[in-house]
Amino acid sequence: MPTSVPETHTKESSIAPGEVMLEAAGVIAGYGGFDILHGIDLEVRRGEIVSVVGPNGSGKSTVFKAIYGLINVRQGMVVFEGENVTAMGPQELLRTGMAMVPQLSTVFPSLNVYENLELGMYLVRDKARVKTRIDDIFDLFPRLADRRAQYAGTLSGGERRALEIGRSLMLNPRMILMDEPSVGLSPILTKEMFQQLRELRDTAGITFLLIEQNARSALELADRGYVIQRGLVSHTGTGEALLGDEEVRRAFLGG
Amino acid sequence: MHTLIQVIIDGVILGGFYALMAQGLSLIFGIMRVINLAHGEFLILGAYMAWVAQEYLGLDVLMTLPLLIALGFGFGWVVSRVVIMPVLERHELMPLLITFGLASVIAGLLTVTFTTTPKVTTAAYSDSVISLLDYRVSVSKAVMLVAALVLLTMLTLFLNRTKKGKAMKATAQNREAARIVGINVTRMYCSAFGLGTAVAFAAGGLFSVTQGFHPFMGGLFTLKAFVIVVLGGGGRVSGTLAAAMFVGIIEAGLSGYVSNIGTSLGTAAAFVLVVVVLALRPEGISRLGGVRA
Repeated sequence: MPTSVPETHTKESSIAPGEVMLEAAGVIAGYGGFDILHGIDLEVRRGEIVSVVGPNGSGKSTVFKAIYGLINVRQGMVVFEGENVTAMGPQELLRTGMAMVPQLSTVFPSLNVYENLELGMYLVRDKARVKTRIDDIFDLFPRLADRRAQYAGTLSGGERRALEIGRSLMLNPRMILMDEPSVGLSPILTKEMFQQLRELRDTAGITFLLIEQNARSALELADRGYVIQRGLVSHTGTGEALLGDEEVRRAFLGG
Repeated sequence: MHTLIQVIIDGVILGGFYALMAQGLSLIFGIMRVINLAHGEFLILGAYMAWVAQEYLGLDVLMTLPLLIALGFGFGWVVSRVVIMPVLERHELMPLLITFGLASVIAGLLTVTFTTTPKVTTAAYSDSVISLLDYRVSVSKAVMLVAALVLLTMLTLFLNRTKKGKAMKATAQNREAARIVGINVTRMYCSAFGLGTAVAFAAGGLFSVTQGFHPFMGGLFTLKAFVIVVLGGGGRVSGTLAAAMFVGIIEAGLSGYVSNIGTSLGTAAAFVLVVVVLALRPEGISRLGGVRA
């Protein structure tokens, strides 16, 4: 592992389809005057699945928070579909078409599955539209449809994650930001979930930015990846290239 | 036997009133996690408003009820927005102290305005009594019970069936998730406080016809409401209703069988009950959680 602040090693891949959808440029952010991110640059193109990985304490969750407006960006900017969204909070971002699924469980445990989905479209007044959209989500996640009247608190970990993803899809976002989607899921369920994300990308054209602890699975799934170390992007490239990169492997994939 | 049945009748009526009163407190606690120590004073404030409406405008309390609910909601909304929200994220004792101060202020202002002489709101049916076999119930108490049950049902329907109600429950269950789906949590908290206050005003208005009231009765109501919320497990309307009926019947029983001091004994008994219940079942009769129904 390099001792000084690592620099970007792998040149960005050119296989990414579509135009740039989300761009973070020189983002410096942290907590209470203490910077965690020292100038993050990353971009996500339309239709891509991009994974941000890194060891514990590298600042990858802070990347998520900075993009989603949960903490202040002290310097640099975040642009989504050509619009400067640096200072926007979660509510505004929802309206611009970027949804998020945070790491913590965010189901409403004492509401049933249907009601949870309904609230995903809280910002929409048209009831008929909400109903149609819930039917769409049930088509995508048949297991949720079977449990529509069940309290979300009684669902299994995988089903809860599916509900969270389903709920984030309610507003028909063009991009979904996910913080550690595999947390609390078994390897099999993680695989299933990643498979589902891929399907959503292929069928609904949704772009994904994942922040993941589980680097190997995340990079296997992703079109491209970013490795964050000490608040900076240390490596970037296709998922495959990063998995094959000697230095990345040595750093934190365990050889 | 005769006394027992009369006690149960009186207890159920008292319980219906207590349930409404306590549900207001429970709603605020369930959603905001704030114990409103001014709840009883809010109730008494509602009682005085009903009295004023009757005395100066000649309005029957049932006519005043919608007005009380609207005023209570507005008053509660403003109070929570101006004095509670700013301290909510600070120390947990802050809202407690603020509502305690608010209680003193309300009691003081009511004393200055109305003196401490007890008042009773009159109604056309004030002196009417329903007699069935040998049992007697005053019409004003029957009105209170029916109105309380109707309001509780409406509240339950609001929480379970409407979008705003569901959003309120959702906010209670997971505040972060509520933010993520675009619910304005501050506004939701203020609405919950407003709704709880509206319920207190309504309960006070109904109560004001059945019994004399004065500015310093509020504290006891707050305590009783608190006892009922704890007993009922805080949250479910059905739990609150059961606990309120329980406390009402015990109180009516003690005042029915023990002359003179029975009513005060009943209150004491309610507190003993809470200690016993909490010792045996710390989660309350049902369980303490977010707002459910």
